[in-house]
Amino acid sequence: MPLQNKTAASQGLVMCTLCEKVNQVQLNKCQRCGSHLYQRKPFAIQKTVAWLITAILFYFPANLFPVMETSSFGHSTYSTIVGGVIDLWKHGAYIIATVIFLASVVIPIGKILVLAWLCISLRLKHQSHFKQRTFLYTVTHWIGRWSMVDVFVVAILVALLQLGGLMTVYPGFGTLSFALVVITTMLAAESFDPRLIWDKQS
Amino acid sequence: MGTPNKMDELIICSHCDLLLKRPALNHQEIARCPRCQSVLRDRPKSSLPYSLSFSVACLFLMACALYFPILAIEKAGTSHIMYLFQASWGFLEHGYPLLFTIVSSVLFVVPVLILLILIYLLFPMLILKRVWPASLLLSKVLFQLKAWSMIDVFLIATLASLTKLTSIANIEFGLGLWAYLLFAIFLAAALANLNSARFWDYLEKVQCHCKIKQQHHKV
Repeated sequence: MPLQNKTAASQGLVMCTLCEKVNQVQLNKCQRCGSHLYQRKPFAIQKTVAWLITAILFYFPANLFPVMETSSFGHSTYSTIVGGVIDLWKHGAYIIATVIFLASVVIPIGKILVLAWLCISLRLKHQSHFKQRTFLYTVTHWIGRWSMVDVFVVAILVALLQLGGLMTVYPGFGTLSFALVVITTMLAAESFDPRLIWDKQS
Repeated sequence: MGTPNKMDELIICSHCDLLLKRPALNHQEIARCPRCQSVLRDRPKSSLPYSLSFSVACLFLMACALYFPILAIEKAGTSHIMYLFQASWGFLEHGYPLLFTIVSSVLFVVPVLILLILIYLLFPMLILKRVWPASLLLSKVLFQLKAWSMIDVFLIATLASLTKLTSIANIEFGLGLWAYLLFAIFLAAALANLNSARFWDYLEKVQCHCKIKQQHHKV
């Protein structure tokens, strides 16, 4: 039931981003929940880019430093994210290896690339692929939290594998960096405003 | 357009800012934006009462999941029992306080806060037909916290690490693990049935009723 394809902005209306109520744009605060009203999220692109840069900076130590250290009979082995996936694959745990690979390699890189492209396309004022870009954003926003799987796997191994000299697992700096990558990419997706894609720039 | 009464008949697509008339939905129907195809409104089978009952069940299950051990490991005579809270505690013990904070926030603090707020809001709204103080503030907190609970992600992580572990040592499942499994499913159900549009409309309605009642008392 579109009203002649009018946008809320063109009618002087704005949606509260928290409680979804339709408000008049002159009001500063939402009439229902009292949140601040913004026509568009303030500094959306700048904030998204800033979080993305932070995420990229953390992504390198996340992959270069070990996520955990396994010490067994006085002998220590270190494993990185990619190393862990390869180990799982060699042991024949194909499904789990794929899940971890998707969650800790494909999704974070994909998220960073998608959000970066969305920001660039807004800067270059692309006037195409509106639906596809919106869809990519929705998926990116939804899938972000699932990257945390690897951090939780380390958490469980650290908590459970405490068998003294027989086998003990310690967390590594890579885990912290990776958790920060997940959090910063989630914040980047949160700062972005998909409505900017549809705003006609003239 | 623009008058307050007419504005309640309108909704705006959160993804492309298109102005639309509020759709009338049947159970389990979803309204999508005609321009950008993202979901505008959905209507689960029975929204808010389900959310309340699942939240109450969740609190009990979480207590069980925390009290009973979730996993036990045994290898060559040495054994170790793991409780749920130790999932983040290990990081603190090994010198990663920031990691401890992140993991315990998304696994314990946020879910528990969500549950407590849900019960605090929904119980008086649905059963006593009134609102308790600070409901507005807590509702705002609730919808901002919703995205940061990662209980379901932890469940997948548990499955992933179990396959990793069974090749190394003997693993036994504790009572806490089953409680935790149910807890994760029930929390997902509580949040899936928490329809934000219906919640805010209902909150507004109950607040309105309360005001009318107060005025009657004064007269």
